[in-house]
Amino acid sequence: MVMPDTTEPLFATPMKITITFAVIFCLCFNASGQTTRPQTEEDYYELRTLPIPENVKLEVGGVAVLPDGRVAVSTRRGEIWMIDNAYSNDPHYTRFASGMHEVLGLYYRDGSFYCTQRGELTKLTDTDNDGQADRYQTIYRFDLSGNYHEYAYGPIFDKQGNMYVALNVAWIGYGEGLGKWHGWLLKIKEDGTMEPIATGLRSPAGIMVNSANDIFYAENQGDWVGSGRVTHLEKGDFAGNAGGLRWTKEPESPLKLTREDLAKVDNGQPMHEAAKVIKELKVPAVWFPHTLMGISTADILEDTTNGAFGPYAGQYFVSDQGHSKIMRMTLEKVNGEYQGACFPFREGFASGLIRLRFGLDGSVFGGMTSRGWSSTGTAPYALQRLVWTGKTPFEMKNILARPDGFEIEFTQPVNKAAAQDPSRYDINSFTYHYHHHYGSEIINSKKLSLKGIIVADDGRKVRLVMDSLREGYIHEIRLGDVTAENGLTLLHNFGYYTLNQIPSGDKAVLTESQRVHAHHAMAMPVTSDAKVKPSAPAVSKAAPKRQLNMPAGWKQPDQVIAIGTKPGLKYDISEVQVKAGTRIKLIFSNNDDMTHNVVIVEPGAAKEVGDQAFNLGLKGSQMNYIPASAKVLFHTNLIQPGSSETIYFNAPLKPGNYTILCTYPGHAMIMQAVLRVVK
Amino acid sequence: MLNRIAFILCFALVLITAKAQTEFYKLTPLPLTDLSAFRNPADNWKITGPVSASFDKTVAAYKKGSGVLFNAFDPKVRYNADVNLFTQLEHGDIFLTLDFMMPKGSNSGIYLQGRYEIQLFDSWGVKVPHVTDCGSIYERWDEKRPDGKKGYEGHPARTNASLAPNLWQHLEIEFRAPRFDSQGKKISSAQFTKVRLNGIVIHENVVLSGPTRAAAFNDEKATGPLMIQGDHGPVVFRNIHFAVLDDFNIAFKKLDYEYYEGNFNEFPKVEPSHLVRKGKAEAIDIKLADNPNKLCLVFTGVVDLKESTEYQFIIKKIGKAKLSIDGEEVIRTRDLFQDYTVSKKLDAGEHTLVFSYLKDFSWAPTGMGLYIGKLNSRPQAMHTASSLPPLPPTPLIDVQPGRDPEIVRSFMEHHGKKKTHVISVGDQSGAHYSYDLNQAGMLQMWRGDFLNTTEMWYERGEPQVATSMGAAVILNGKPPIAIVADSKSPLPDSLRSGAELMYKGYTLNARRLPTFEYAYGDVTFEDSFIPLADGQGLTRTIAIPKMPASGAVFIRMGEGSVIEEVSENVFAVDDQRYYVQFFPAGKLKPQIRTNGNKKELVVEVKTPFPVVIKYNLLW
Repeated sequence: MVMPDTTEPLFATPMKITITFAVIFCLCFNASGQTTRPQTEEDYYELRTLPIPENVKLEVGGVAVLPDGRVAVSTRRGEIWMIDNAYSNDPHYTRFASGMHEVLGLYYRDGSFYCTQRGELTKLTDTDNDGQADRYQTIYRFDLSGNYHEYAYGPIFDKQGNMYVALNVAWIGYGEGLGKWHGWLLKIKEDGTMEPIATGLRSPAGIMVNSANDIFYAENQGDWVGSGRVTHLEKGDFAGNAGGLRWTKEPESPLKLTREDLAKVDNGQPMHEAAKVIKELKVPAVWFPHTLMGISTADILEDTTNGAFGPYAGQYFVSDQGHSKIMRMTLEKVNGEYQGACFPFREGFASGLIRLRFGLDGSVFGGMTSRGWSSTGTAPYALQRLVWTGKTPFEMKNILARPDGFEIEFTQPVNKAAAQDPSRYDINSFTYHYHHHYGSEIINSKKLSLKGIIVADDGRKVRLVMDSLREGYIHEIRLGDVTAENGLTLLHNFGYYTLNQIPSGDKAVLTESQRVHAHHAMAMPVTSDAKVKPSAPAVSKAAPKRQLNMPAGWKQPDQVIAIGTKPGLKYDISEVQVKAGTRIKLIFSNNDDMTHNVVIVEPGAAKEVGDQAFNLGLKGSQMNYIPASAKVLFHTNLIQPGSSETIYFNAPLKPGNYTILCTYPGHAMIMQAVLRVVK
Repeated sequence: MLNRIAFILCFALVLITAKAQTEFYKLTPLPLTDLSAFRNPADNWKITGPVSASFDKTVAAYKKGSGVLFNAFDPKVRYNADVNLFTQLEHGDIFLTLDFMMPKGSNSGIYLQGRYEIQLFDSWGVKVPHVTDCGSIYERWDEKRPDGKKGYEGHPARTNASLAPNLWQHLEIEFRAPRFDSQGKKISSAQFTKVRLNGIVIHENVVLSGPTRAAAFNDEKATGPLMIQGDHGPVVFRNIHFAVLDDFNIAFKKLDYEYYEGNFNEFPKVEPSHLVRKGKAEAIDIKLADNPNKLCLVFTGVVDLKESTEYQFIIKKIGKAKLSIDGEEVIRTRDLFQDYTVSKKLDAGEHTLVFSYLKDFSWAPTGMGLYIGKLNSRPQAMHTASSLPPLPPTPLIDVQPGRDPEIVRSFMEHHGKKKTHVISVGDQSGAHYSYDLNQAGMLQMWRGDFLNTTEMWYERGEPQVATSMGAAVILNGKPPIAIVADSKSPLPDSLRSGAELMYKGYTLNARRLPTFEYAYGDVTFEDSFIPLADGQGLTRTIAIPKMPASGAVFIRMGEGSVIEEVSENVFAVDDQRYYVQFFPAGKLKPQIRTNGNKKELVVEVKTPFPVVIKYNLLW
């Protein structure tokens, strides 16, 4: 059901046209009943790729949408390209500026561009009206140590016309603010005066001012950062990474916290616990669980289209560079502080999605680069536009915290009988370590039981009532077979709510029919497990799949295989040959900066096993992403960067090409090698 | 974005590890106290002291003294080969370095073995070098061929790396002589292995089928004298150094290995119980280990040295290694990545080497190798090729100006330090420069290809460093303007950027060349560079609209060990390294002052303001 790729009328009355079109489409859709084919993200949001001239290396760092229909793109090679006719299949590119140092943020205002280079905040103006900038004005100079990781992002403007920029910490085996004010959010006025606002920023690729004039930034997993997240920043906040604390002794610093102070809480406790001790420590408004949502949170975009981009007006879209996708974020204020939920939204972008900006027609321009940091979308760079088809998917539109649970709002009325069935809900809570180490595993994981379910009369809301909400924790809300009244299945069936605070207020009064009985709860199957159907009984004890010591009776292995990794989701071998039935010692060394495993599967089973691993969900990391499948012959556990594991096994007796793969989510299709078994 | 651990850093280090060996050459100076190093020199050849001249002079002036070989060319002897100069030295394979100076319009050449010529020529401003231009391997010549085809097999320099007339230029030549069998039949041809002019590689591994034009000998031999062409024009030389090279073949006469497995981070942790295997080996080989990250390999080998001389041992590895020679430990590495080198005088005969290597981590690739060099020969690998990870192929990423200039901001190495706010400007005229925005300081100027940005734009670009692609004249990077207490005060070497000196941005002119703007104390100034049309230099203009409330204002135009006014308002800076040509304006008068152990070319700026100081930088 692909819509014809027509050139849309743009600047006339775009909103009206789109909406009218949408309504007609919805009517047609409902009138024709449900298609039997499962709906996909593409049915609701289509990707349009803008062609890029062969000689233009459009490694996008910033995107600015101009009111006259042009779109400007700044690049990592220091150029700004002006794109005319950007909403079509035949855009025209002109170089507006060049020679800058890695421009990762771009903003258009009053006829000038504002952008960050590594070394400064620059204002660019075309004073002689020839379509090229001729005035490169330095508004504020950034101090630099010369470390490659000292990236600069922004600026964004608040309602008063102040600019904000965010500066990365240097990477010297850990994050450190070597250059002055690196690791900080800075407020800079047009006249070049600067006020440091907040620190604790590690790799703040995305900053945003929302319509309430509040500032948020998106953070990447790393040292002191267990997982990706979005944090609301106010003056004096410390967002978690220690690197920027190097500059808190400066007189302008709004906080006095030191690395020594932070050492007191560097014991792996959850961040919300550490925040009880370190009062400056700001917990994120929303966590984006690593690999379950994305792997490198990048830009944040508030939906200000009033419905032109679909049913999520007022919500937020957050891009992920490594996973080449957009996630959706909702925020609410509880006790005056932001918190909220995140959901999958649209994957399949062509490259590393670092920038999101709304076009004039309510579509989203996605600017991309993957150089140096490989992404699921394999193009080195790309510019794409995401367009709403006018159809409304069946989704959890929002999750809101309640004193005794959560309220789920749906985009369309639910099938009430299904919604009332407790076996269709699975609620888990967890969090991450707060420590100087890189990233974190999932910790303190706990399943929550339902006490009651209240389905609203209009079928648009379902309230989940429980006793054991965990303040400070991420709550995974995963729905099983909850369908819409019209029969549509959920496009995405899970979301993560960051419950920093449990709101006060009245608890729900449950009727007998709303009450969940204990036997129901206990019988409740785990949805994520239900998807994994073991295709054969468990293997016998005689042949363990992960044999860590040399089996008794082996004097020595017949063959030793050493497998390492290369950057970009690769093993350092593409093929290894063994003799059928021989004794193999396999040493897997993870030299990469991500966790990997080695899983040897039956010929042709790589995709099946990879998909099963992906669908393990929250359980995945505990299971080392090894699905219970007879097609998995041998495996290592998940191996942390910089460590190794050795396993022993007898090569299969049947000759053939067996696959060696990493089943970590997102890696399976790329990270493979062949184990050739010969007679 | 950009969030993951920088393990690529380690791979970058491997690149360094696998790079070609540095030369282990002991350079011998060719004495220039008198002409005794030469065979029957003709009268035109003299030994002199320091030389100086402006860029437009066809003859340089000299002082009495020694250290300089000066060809006082007389046009009457043009093309009279008797005035060419031959060394007493006879050489085969050789590494030769020298400084030379070409007066305006002159022509000379260096003939290896008296036969194979690297052309010396005044090629100032030539865009695309021809075989007759400076640094080219001159063509061969055959009178029997038809006109226009008599010259053949010349090799123009890759790029014109030469400088202006009467500046000192530096040439390095590595030459491989032809080889002959016992019957005197040639079995391999003469070869220019590497030729660098002013630091730029202009030839690599160029094979010559025979002597080039105007060679002293038309046959080919294993050895011959160096010849300097003296019959084509005046030329000056100094600092002639050479190393006569030697073939060196070495292999282990006997080699045993032991493989230990375990988490060893230091050699004392390796115990006999960790031994997995031992046996004989052909060469040092990493593949003899099973586990690439929990290993210790110990190689014990015997080499039979033919000569008593100095030997060099080079260890390259990721991990730790040690080496002992005849029971004496000569290397024990501490750093995990660094190369270690030791030189040792050894007698002819058998010597026992013990080379040990360990590694206990997997976050960087595994690799190790041992090279042995003999003085004045290329070091030989004692390990298998796969033991040291190879250089991954990396494409060149460069920027070249087109119709408009190209500008690139980058980090840049300068005098061993990384500058962070550097702008480079490349122009179609061929004259390019790099400039430190923090100091308003010129870092370098060059001609030829513009900028190599591979280290910025390939993968993560961790160094973020851009490099010039032509023969660069390195400048001091100091601020060009100084406001000091009075006319006698020394000028500061740097200003605090963002405090004393505020960089305000730049504006592109109609040619799209930048004019930089600064605030310095209570004054502002503008600084711009316009390339000369033929690319032979840059015109720098510094404009100061008003006088500071107090103090004296100086413009510093040049700095060096020696500064000499070689013609009116033309100054040769730093012993003929580049020229400053000052444009007189009102009463402003350049002065040569002493600052510490250096000379400075300055002009004190006085009313009436606005003041515009203008000078050419020529090289």
